[in-house]
Amino acid sequence: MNIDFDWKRSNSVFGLSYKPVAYVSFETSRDDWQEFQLTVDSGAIVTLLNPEDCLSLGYNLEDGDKKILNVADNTELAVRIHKIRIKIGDIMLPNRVRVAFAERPIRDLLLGRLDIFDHFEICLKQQILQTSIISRIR
Amino acid sequence: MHNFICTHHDIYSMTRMNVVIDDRLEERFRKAIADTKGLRKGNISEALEEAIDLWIRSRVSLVSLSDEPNIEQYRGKYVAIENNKVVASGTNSIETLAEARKENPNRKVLLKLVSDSDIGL
Repeated sequence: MNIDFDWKRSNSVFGLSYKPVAYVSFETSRDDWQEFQLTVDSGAIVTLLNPEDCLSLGYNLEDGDKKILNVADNTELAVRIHKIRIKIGDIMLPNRVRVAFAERPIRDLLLGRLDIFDHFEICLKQQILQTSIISRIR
Repeated sequence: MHNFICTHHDIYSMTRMNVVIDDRLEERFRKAIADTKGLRKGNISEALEEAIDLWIRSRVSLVSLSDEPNIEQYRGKYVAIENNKVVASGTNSIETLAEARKENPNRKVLLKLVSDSDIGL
């Protein structure tokens, strides 16, 4: 099974550009699903959201394990790790996924590698501005 | 040259296109379909639709991709999207969801953080 997502317009310091995104649904504490648009980021070790996103999913931020992530600009980012069931498009991952919620605001929501990329082949097709996510889940 | 007939159909409409293409290209096209999809009824039309879509994307996507709403005015904020329209915005997802669900607590929306960052964080 595979799913395609169109890249989204994004203004940058270099002018108009496009970025690869995926629509990811997270299971809430109310046995419901909330969908977010995340930037596909193969450089990110873990999927990363804002602190309030944890609350809007119905989880208590402080209940997650605390970890310190090293960020590309040599700073550190304190996060709380929660294990949450997720769907990419309509594809449900077989196990709960480790999701990091930053303790301070971040400026982009990222789909990272941990617990996710091993279930998919992800092709970034710059020429047609599309991301293809091919499931290896059987 | 080969006279190619492509039938496009969806639940709303059907279109028939008569086009003339090079025999060798047609042969390669049929072989690729046979190798990947199998030569079952409807597969040629399906493959032609995919090919046309790829052609369009490779040429016009930099100008306009689909009908996504212009959300640049919300840079740095969250927006809630329903049917390709912004229905609420706020400084975080809690605020945005609350506004989107003011009248209907079960409303399903897509949440986006309109990033103002050039390199992720």
